[in-house]
Amino acid sequence: MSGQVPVTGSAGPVLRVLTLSDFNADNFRSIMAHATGGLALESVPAPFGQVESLLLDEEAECWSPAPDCLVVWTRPHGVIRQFEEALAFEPFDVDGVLSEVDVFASLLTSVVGRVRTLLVPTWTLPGHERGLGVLDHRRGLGLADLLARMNQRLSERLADVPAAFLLDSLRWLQAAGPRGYNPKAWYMGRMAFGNEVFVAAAADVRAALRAVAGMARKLVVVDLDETLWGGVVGDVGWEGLVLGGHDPEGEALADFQKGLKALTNRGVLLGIVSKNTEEVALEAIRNHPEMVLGLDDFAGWRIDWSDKAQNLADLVEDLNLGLQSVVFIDDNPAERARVREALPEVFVPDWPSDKSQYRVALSRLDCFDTVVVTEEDRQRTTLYVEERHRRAGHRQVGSLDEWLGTLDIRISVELLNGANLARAAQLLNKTNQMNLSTRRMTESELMEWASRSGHHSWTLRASDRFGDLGIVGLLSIEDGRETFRVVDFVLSCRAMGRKVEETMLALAIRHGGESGVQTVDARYLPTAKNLPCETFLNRSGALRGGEPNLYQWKTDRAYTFPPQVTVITDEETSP
Amino acid sequence: MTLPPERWLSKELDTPLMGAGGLDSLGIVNLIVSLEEHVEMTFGVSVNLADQRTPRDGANPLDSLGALGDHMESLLREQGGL
Repeated sequence: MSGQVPVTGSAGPVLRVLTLSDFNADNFRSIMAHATGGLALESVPAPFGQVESLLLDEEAECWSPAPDCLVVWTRPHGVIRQFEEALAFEPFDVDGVLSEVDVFASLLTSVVGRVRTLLVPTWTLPGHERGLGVLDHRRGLGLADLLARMNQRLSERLADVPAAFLLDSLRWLQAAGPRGYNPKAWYMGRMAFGNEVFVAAAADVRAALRAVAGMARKLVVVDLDETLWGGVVGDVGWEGLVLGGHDPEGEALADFQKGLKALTNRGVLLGIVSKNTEEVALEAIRNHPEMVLGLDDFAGWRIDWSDKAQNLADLVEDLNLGLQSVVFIDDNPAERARVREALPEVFVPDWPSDKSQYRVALSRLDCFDTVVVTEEDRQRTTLYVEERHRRAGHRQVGSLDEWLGTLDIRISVELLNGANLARAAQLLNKTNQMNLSTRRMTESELMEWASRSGHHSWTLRASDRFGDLGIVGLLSIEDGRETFRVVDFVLSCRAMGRKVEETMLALAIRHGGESGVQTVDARYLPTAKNLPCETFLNRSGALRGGEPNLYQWKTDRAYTFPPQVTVITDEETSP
Repeated sequence: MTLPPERWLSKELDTPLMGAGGLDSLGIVNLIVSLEEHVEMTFGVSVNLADQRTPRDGANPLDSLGALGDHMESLLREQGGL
């Protein structure tokens, strides 16, 4: 099991994952590297039982080449000496134990510059450790209390390290049940956990790395009949649907809807694709008294008798999202198979036939994990609903420009700072379509880049008469002697086509002109998904003819802000 | 846990479990632990495949798949699982 474990899973770059542990983690490495899940991982081998020394020794073999991710998985008594004494029921000093935790946390934070992501499973004990039984949660006395405080302290110490994340290992042990620990595996092979624990841990590590890479799914599209409610609304009418009430199946479905609604608070959008008569289905959503979800909880829907795969693709396009952002939930295995076959980028989870399992199946999906939840995330559904209303208005107005002129679009420009950093990094890492170079950086990497001499990053917040779209754009520029280069040109898909991209480009050129350079340029790095960016650049009035994918703008030409937009800049910080 | 295909063992009675062509030490531990858990789940009895007194008549049960199968059958009969 030892040795470098290269593995498959996707066509993307291979991420190197180094696991340092005080137990034999070879099984974990192997399971993690061979599991599927949208990422290609390579497990870096390292000896076990040398956690502290390997963390300190930058010259150790495991650090070269540098891993992308470090997992530090230890048993509490493996690294906190006084916890071992507590485990032997010797008297212990809580403050002394927590001081040891502080030292360990300092050691962990010292490696953050060496890796982009640090994952630390929480400390746990195997289920057979009863501690002091009835006294085990007694403050200052029991092991369970002490362990909880140690984990809490570790969490506090790592809270200010954006690259560091604690993973809840207790859940892995619960999932494994009695197979979570096997003393024979420990005595014969120094394996502290059973393979079921490692399987659950590997899934969480992959989910965490997908979150860091900005690969979270953003839209859940659900079917209606037998999925959101019980029964076929076209047959029984909304009055006859099974939902809520004193019915086990109805309660389960209402609970499932609550789970979906909770997702919207994490920034996940909801949509409907259903074979039904639209007005009949919408009437049910509006009128059924037990409906947890209302029409304003859905970013959009396609309800008719057409092919669901086609309707799903149309809905996703309408919402300016990519298919790789989508989860499709349907009770019908044939419909699931159809969508899987026609739209392989869409994630279509197997779905239980037993409706009492719906909420659990939803909770188990780990594809929504993100490394930050911003205010924009919480408001995302509202923003899309407002967009639906805007479009309704658009249908009553002539040209697009004319319509945009009625929106009273306002764009505020701010220098990158501590308050907008989280959203800026989120935009950088999650935006695929209007993204010039698709570079991915953590919050600290972005701030470090922007603070270098000659580097500038600004965020753009957009609003209109329908509401605030939040921070939707990121512009980064690198000053040069004769030419300024646009490094990041990132715009959320929900703001595309609102003249924000024109405004952003005008800001960049204005910054160059006011600084005295003749030219501002941008190097477009094509990906499978950023064609919209190229399309915009091609119609931006840029000069071509040099290197392929190089766009240039002369600063002596007038690039004015679009007339439909009011730009609000801070004179001290804006370009 | 499933090994990568290139490390799968041939399903033959004389396939060696240890040494050249067999499993490494961690693979042996994984096999023993996994088999014991399966036996307990399937037959409801506990067996100890890592018993130090195992080579009773000179044959090591971990010499080959066939020897391990015979050994497990013998243990199951002793425990009343068969």
